[in-house]
This record gives sequence, C-alpha cells and structure tokens, in this order.
Amino acid sequence: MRIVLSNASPDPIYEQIVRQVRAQILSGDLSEGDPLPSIRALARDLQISVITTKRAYEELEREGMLNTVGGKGTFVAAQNPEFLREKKMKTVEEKLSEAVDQARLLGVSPEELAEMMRLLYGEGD
Amino acid sequence: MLPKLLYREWILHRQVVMLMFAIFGAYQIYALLNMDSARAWIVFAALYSAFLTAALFIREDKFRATGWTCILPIKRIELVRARFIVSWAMVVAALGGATLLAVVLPGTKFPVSEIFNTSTLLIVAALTTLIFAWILPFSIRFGMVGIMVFLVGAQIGGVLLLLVGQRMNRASGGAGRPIRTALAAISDTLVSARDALSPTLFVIVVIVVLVATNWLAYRFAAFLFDRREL
Amino acid sequence: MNAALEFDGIAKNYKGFTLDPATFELPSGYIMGLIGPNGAGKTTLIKLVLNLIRGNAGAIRVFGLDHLEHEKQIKVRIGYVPDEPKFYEDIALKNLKRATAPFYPRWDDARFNSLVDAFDLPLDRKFKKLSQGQKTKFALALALSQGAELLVLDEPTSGLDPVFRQELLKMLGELLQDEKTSVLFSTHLTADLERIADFITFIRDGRIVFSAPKDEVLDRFMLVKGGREVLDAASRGLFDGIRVHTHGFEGLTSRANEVRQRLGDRVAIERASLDDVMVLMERKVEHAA
Repeated sequence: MRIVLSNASPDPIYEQIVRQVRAQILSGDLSEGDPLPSIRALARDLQISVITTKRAYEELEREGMLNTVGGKGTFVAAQNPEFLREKKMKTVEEKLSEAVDQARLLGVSPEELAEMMRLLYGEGD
Repeated sequence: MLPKLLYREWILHRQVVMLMFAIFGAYQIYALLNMDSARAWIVFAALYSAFLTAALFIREDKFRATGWTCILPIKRIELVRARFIVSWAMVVAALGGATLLAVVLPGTKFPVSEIFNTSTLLIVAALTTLIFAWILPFSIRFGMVGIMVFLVGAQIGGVLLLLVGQRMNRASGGAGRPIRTALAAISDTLVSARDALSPTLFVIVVIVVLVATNWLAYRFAAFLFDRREL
Repeated sequence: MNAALEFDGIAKNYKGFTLDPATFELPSGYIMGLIGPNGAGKTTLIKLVLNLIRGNAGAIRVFGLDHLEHEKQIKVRIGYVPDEPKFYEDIALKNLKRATAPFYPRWDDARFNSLVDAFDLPLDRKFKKLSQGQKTKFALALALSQGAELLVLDEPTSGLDPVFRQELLKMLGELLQDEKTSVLFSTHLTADLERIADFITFIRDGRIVFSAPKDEVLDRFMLVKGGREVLDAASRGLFDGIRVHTHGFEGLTSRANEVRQRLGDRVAIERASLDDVMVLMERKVEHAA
C-alpha cells in the first residue's frame, strides 16, 4: 500500500488517504484479503494523528472497501464485481464532471471535448 | 523512600561534603592544639558543622534544581524528613570525627575525657537543635534567602540580648556583666531543675524536650515547604 | 475511553496573571498539543499537574486519580521535561541518573543507555558543561527511561535543531503505538503538532479558547483572503477572527460555505493552519488604509 500525502492539497488528510486506498483497491494494486497496517502504525509511518487514520479506515469500511477483524487487523474486503465496476465508473465520472465544468466555463463545446478525450485515450496506448 | 532519598543526597553532595570535612578537619587540628576547654571546643565544633549543613542545602537553591527534586515521586514532607536526618548525621559525623581526632592527636590541649561530660553533650545537642530549628525550615523553604533571614535574625537577636542585658544591668545597679548574668541565671535554673529531679530524669527530660523541638521544627519546615511554589 | 489527564476547573491566581478555570481532558493513548503564545499559561497548567504550584480552585486527575491525594502513585507514572531543565550543575550526568533512577520501579537502564547513545550525550561530563540542546536531551533521556505512561513536555523542541525535532516526534510516534502512553506537549511552534497531534488545546491570556480533536479544528476553520472592498458589516460577521491590512485581509471562518456563497471568487479560501487559527482566532486587527 502506498500513500503519499500533500499538505498543500485542499482536501483533508483523511480524505487523501481514503481516495488513495480506494484507487489502489479499484485498480487491483490491493487485492482482497491483503492486510493493511494498523491505524496506529499507519499514523506513525505517515506522521499524522491516529484519529485521522481511524477516520479514513472507518470511511473505507463504510464503503465496503475494508474489513476489520477484531484482534487480527484490517484487510481489503472482497469486492463485489458489480459494485467494483460501479465504483470505478463513479471515480471516472467525478473527474469527467470536473472537465465538463471547466469546458463549459471556458466555452469548449461537447464535440471538442469528446475529440480531446479520444486523442488522450489514444496517447495512452 | 528514605534510604533512596538519603542515597540521592549523598550522590549529589558527596564531593562538597568531603571538601568541607577536609577543611573542618584542618581547622580542628588548629583548635585542638589551642583550645583548653573541652566544652568551648565542642560547642564551636558543633556550631561550625551545623552551619555546614545549611551550606549544603543552599546548593540546590543555587542551581534552581528544587523543581527537579519535587518532580520525583516523593511527598515534600519526606524530603524534609530526609534533610533533617542528613543535617543531624552531618553534625554527628563531624563531631565524631573531631572527637576521634582529639583522641588521636598528641597535642590536644584538654583531657579528652572532658568531652564526654553529660552537660557538655546536652548543651551541644541543645545548640544544634536550636540552630536547626531556626535555619532548616527557612532554608528549605526560602533557600539562600532563608539563610539570610537566619543571619539577620541572629544579629537582631544578639542586639536585643545586649539591650535586655543593659536594661537588667541598670536595674541591678550597673555593676554586673549582663550576658554573663543572664547565662548564669539560665544555668542556675537548669541546675535547680536537675537537682529537683534526679540527674538521670533530668537528662531524659532534656532529651525529650530536644526531640520534641526537633520534631516541631521538622513539621514546621514541612508546612512551609509544602507551600513553596516552584 | 479513559482519560490519562483531566483538568476539572483548575484555576490559579498569580500577581499579574490569572489562569481562568480550565476544563479539558486528554484521553489515554493519545497526544495532545497545548498551544498558545508565550505567557499564555501553558507552563502554569503543566506545573499544576506536577504539583510544583498549587491551584486556587478546581481539580486535576491523572489516570483517574486526584493529583494531590495520590501524588506519589501518579508521579511514578509521569515523565516530565520542563522548559529549560535544571539539575545540580557540578554533578556528572551519570550521577544525576543515579540520583533519579531508584525512584522509578520501571526504570529501563538499557533504554536509557541507548537514548544516551542516540543523543550523543557525554555521561561523564558535568551538567554545567552541556549545551542548551544537550541539557534538554538529557532531561528527555531520563523522562523516557522511567517507564512513564504520561509524558508531559513543556516546550521540548524550542532549543533543538530541526533534525532532532523530527527525531523526537518520531520517538513520540513510536511510544504511542502501545496505546497506553499518552503525551501532553506544549509548544508555541505549531508546525510540530500540525501533523501528529490527536488533540489540540489552545490557551491564550490564561483562558482555554478551545480543546478539540485536531482534525475537527483543521476541518472547521478555513482561511479566507481577499481585498478590503469585499468586507462590509454583513460579511465581517462570518469571520471568527480577522486581520485587515493595507493590501487586503485575512479572515478565519467556520462558515466557509456561506463565505463561498456570498463572496465567491472575490476571495481565496484555503485550509487554515494551526498557526492561522492561533493568530486570528477571536482577534480583530485593523491597519489604517
């Protein structure tokens, strides 16, 4: 598990953690059953408050991304493939939403935006 | 708790104590060779060593380390108790060592057996008690300032004594030496008391009074020290 | 959750300074930053815990026990590092240790020696020969070797270089792993606490301004910057503290959404740092145009 925190980011630290862990689970970097560091160990490693890491884990648990087994620790939860896909779609949709807002603001048409998207996708190959 | 505190005082003061005892020893050699009254000698030795102990406790104040001492898991009264014991131990050790020196030194001017006179020893104990009763509570509470208070108090006391003596002198026709007269009066009272009780009983009573005074001084010192803000 | 340390209306009057009744607590296993400007009362609060000074009202409980009634039991479990530690100057460090260790049944000599190594402290040297930083490190080494469950540190970083400060914070982080050690850390350098503190208590002029989980504090307040023309009677009301200067203003707000709605892109809104909170909270500073 890899977490990189930014003090400059407008997002609260716990949210940064939630996002990054979620992304790694969705992308498959973290698989079902993988153990996560304890909230205290993570707090120590990232040099942040344990209350923050606790909040992040609790949020992820609420989303169904993590499972805490009393006494054993926290693990990546089994992901329902439907649910997983839905989550992935949602993540992309959020980003796309931002792009659409910007485009609208700057006067870029939907067609231009779609073209841009196709080109960018092509670059990824 | 007490042994730990006593050990601690030893660690913190041992070098200074050894230096002070060395100087004290040198002075004793001089005194033993020059004083012809055992009583006067031991009284001075007691006064000297009693003041030494005060010098010891000033150290903590000088270093402002009293806060450190009070952080330890001890009650303040335990610290005061330890310091009273250390004070007495110092005086007893000093006098014991000085007596040994008197025995061993070939040139001792007075007969050593005179040291072990009951009255002499009681006087020494009483003087030490009085000095400690006054100096310890105030130095434990006020540090350096406490010693100043003692010295100033002693001076004022001395002046008052002189004035009282002069008054008495005038009252009695101006002939006598007032302080001698006062001391004589005190010793006369004590002698009559001793005669009224048996000598042994008298000694016991005096010892009890001294122990009580020490205990009261200790409680007073603890009371003052409890209120000290650090 | 048990409280390692509870202040219950504790108050203290000095000539020239008053600590108003303070009530807050530090739950077990967490680290609390006590922040405030110099002279705010941080050291007073800390000295009250250690019974170096007596309160005029209220109570303090450590591990649930009254701090006066159970003074000895409590002090065995507290490791304290004062601002500018003072020891007998003419005694060597190793002897200062010998004068301290016997009082703590959980004294860990191995730990003390490894700390002395890590801090590079000369055990044979007399205390007076140490630099200011070394003196603090020595006091820390002692406090950390006592097996303490509560560490009380009064401005521990203010004599130390940044490298050591990081090391100290890392050490504290390690200690907190066992969930049984709690730390109260007073400082006017908030950067140290910005990340690792779990709770923050802010004191100013003898009064506790707030005591809350750090995340809550940093989530609650936003820093708003903009030009003076943006301010009017209504918008000023949105700020918990404000500083107006020639070229604009900085405001602290707990109502960021309202600010965004009203003032929108005429202002920049960003997360407030603890410093911002400390400087701006409940303050209104105006500089003439």
